[in-house]
Amino acid sequence: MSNITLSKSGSLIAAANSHAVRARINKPVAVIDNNWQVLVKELPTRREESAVEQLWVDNLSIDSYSDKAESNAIKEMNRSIYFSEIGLRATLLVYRDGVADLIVVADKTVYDKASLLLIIRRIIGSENPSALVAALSLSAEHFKLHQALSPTEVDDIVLKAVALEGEPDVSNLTVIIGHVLAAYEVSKDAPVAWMKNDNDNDNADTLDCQTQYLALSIALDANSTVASLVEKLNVDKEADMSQCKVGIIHDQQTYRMPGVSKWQYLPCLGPSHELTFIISENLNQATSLLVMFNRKTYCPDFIKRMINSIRGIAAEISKGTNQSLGNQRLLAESEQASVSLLGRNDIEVEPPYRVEERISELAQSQPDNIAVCFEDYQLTYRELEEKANQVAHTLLEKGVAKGEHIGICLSRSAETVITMLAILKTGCVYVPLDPNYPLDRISYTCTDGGLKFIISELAEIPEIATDRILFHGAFFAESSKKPTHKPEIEGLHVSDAAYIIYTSGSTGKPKGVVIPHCNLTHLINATKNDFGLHNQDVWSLFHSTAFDFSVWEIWGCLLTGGKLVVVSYWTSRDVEEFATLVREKKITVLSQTPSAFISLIREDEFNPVGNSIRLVIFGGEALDTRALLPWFDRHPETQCRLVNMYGITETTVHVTAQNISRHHAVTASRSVGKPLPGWYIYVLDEKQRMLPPGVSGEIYVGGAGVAMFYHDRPDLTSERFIPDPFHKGTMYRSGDKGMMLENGEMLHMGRLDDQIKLRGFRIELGEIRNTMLAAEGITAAAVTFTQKDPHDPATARLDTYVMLKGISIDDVITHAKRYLPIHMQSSSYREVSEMPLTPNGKLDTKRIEEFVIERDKTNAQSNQKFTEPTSEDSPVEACSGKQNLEDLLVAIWTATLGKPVKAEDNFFDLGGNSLYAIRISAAAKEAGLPQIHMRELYIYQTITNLAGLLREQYSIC
Amino acid sequence: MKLSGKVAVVTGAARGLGRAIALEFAKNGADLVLIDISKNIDEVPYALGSSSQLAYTAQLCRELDATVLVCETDLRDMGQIESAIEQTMARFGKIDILLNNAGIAAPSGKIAHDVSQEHWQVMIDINLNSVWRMTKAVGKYMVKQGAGSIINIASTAGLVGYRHFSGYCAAKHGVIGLTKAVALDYAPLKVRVNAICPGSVRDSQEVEGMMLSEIARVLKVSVSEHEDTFLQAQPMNELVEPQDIADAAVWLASDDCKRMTGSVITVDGGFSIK
Repeated sequence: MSNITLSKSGSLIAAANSHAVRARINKPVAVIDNNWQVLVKELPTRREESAVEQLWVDNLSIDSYSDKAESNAIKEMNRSIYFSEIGLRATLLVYRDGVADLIVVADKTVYDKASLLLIIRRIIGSENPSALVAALSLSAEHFKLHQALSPTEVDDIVLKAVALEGEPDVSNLTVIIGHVLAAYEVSKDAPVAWMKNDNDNDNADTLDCQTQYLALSIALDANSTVASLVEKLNVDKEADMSQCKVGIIHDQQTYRMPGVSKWQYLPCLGPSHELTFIISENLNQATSLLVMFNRKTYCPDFIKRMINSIRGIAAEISKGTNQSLGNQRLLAESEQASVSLLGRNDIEVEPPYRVEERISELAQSQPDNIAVCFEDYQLTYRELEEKANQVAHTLLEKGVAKGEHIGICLSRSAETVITMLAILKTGCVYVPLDPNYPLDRISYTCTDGGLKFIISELAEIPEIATDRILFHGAFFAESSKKPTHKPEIEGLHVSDAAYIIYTSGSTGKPKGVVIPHCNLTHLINATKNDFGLHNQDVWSLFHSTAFDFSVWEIWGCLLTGGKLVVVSYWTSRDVEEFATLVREKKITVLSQTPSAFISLIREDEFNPVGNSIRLVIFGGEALDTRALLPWFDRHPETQCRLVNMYGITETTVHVTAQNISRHHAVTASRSVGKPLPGWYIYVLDEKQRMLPPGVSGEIYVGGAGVAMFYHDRPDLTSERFIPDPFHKGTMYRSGDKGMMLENGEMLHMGRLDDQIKLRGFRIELGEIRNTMLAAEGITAAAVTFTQKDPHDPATARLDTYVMLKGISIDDVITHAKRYLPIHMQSSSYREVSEMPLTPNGKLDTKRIEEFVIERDKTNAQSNQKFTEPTSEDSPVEACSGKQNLEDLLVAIWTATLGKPVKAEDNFFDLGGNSLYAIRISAAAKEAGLPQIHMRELYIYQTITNLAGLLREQYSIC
Repeated sequence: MKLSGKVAVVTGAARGLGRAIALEFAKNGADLVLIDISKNIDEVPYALGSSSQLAYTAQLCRELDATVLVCETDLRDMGQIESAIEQTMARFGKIDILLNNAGIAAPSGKIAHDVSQEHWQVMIDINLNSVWRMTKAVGKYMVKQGAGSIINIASTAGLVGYRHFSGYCAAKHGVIGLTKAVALDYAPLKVRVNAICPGSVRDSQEVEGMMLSEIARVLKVSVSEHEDTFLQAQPMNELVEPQDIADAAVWLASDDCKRMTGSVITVDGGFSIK
């Protein structure tokens, strides 16, 4: 005897193992009872005469055709066999009009369907084949699972029955179900538990169970035809049936039962597996599909979509099995249209405009409002307008023409903003460069971007002719003498490019994303009303101008007439200074990466940011909403709104917005919300076909924010910017993994490739790898990204492994520092004897440590075993008893960084980063030392240097 | 419908609290096994539930769409109990709720040393031992199911003493002790055991419950005098209604209190507060 077993509660097993027949008859009770008594003596399970072998007769004072009779019968059919000696229960519901329902429920492991039907025939005692018969189609209404299940599980299971078109063959249907389960990410390559119910045994007079339960493996191959996949259906004898997540029951209700006016068969009274499909064929050759599932695991909408997919593909395949499943759509045309609407927000917004026109208007309408503020220096809108006009005149005199690219290589300051505006006024395109980036990278951007001039605080840039570099001091001095009126430039249009931002590229070279005025101003129009942006707002400019979050900060503020507080690089790196600035400048709109904001939340506890912030915009990396709880406790949602935004440089900073409330934090929501008005999001498969909600795929973004192209990269442009098949225009292929939810919100699930986000920076590991490989002597390179503690961003790190020929690891470090910005530099560089690979040919990061050659200096340290510091470890305690300042600092660094430290070790070589810097600063303060500002740590870099500084400044011994 | 799909066994179901509880269970979607002795016992000085009363309870339950199994069972006999439960399992396949309600109020009304052995024994046998017997017969199935709720109807006489009711008080105190001990036995097995202590329940024509009159008769006082005495002792100044107990029983039987076990709930108009 075969058996279905489940590792669930007994009731589920009982329900799954029970099946039932109901037959409507018109015979005297005494006849039925007599037949039963005769039959019972033949039952193979019978031990000896027992009271429990009776036919249960319920006389009901209701009519056989009433709804109550129907519900009574269904209730009786759903009463599973639990603890039964004979594995069988026969009940006769006798209605007051004399008609009766005979209901026999049996344990499937004892009596299979054929036996059960034989039992029914014997009880009825009619062998007249000419009697009327009608098997009723199975529908969800026939299952009253609460009768069969423990009541706590009642609400967890719902059912759907759908009719399938085109009389699909059950083998085809099984293959199709296997394909859809894989496409819906339910089960891939795992065998399904398959059960066929036969109406007749070979020997129709025996009562032995012959039903076979099989573990069936369904081959998946999108390119094979259905017919060939059917041939590959295979019984997996090794598989453990109880481990199958999916069960398929095939039931043919094509049996004609003599002497019965109508009858019904339920093949199970509860789901045999987490997801149970019942394929049933009735007398009219109609096939229906019914699904039982556990609501704790699946949501009904998801199951509904899946059934629709099976239905649609089955209808298509019924036209011919020479089609491959890979060509079948999961969503029907109409569904595809409705899903594409989910990813769209059609709220109408004002038409876009050119950036500099709006600033000119504001200079007229609110000339004395403060536009930009940097430290003690302030500019009104009139002054901003006039100074930008002066700079524009200077540039025009130097011969710039509309559409040319001009670089800005300046630290954050009021001049940076003036220069951006001035460039736009000339009809040119500004290209921000971060002066903190390595010179070679800056040089690359200047060349690749075709920059006519670079307004720069660096007097020299490698390989760039000095006459293209406009050194900032002299340049602004010259500008201050120019006229303040607006330069007249002909033929400017909203669709002209406004800026180019360079982003990480997997080929090892960054690429320039070209964004027009209309995209940028559309972004502001799309968010202005929802966020209530107005001219009393005070915004911070916190981010590097080379990071497009700054585009949002600068123009979100200035185009809505607000005051932009420029945060210096060092203040942005020092949370204490920044919290003080937020409080003193009364910042109202704050844009932050989650990592930075988490530090601010901690700081706010001791050094409050005040109550001015009314809106916080998160961007740049994934948000762990749980970390926001302490913020909500101090700054309720009614006073300060938090919005998580998902965005990509190629789609103009932002795409979606999700209000974050306490609810999101408590439930650790990962939703990035719905698209902004004008932006469209789609989740598509490899063939760019729409995926159903609940299924993950690649995020594509269409609509108002899509960039024009990658500068000078037509191949890459045509690869990533493709025609939007769902709406006119272009859509951008993001490379991000996402999932659309039924309510139109999207989950962002990281990258499909090896791009990562580290402290707000988007980094292609491939870019680092290719940069390393560019060095002569590095024959192989691998870069890993790890985060030991998922809740502690400070533990996120990059490690580079290289194979070398003729150079040393020190040369590798020098090369990395020369070509990569700090955020792309690794915490360690190690030489390996070989690159271990996984069976799939990918780098085996788990084994790579085994191949490290103990030669480099960081390696010597790393090979020792250390306990990672925990939050309970107090650096102060760790250094108690230390006399010497260096020793104290060594103890603090050791406890914070979790590795042994010597006084001459370099902070960055030890894996130091901004978050560790904050912790070291806090620990030093706690240990009674004067404050070590982050900038000091970044400049002095070693304990020896820092101790020298402290001695000098504070006369410490 | 808090009890949809559940099967409940109710003892002493012919009338009174048993009937009120059975009807409330049926209203909430349960199927029922109605158990009553349906005959008189020599030692008990008043008429016990009859077959007719039990059949009437069954009819009322069926009118509420419950499927009903009727068992005329003497709970003093383990064999009869086992047979009833065997039938129940054959008919319904499971038992979700066991409500031990059957009990007698008399023979009582005597000072402790005047109580005869026979009277003492019948009181303890029906009011305490039969609760254990039912638990023994049903508990093993509930444990196999990994679910179940046992509700014992105790009394305020299980919490305080009543003059001239030593046997009744001893039995009801015993029921509370049994409730707590079995609750501990079954807690890891997910079977819950709780007790309800009703105060004095008003006689009801509808459910044919006449306990108050019987006690008055035992105490040789008029029914109104007896009612007045209890009313004065109940801070809410109202007697408890059978429905109050039925409502408490539905709650204890339902999954609304699925983490509650070993509790003793008093529904007594405040009688036992002081």
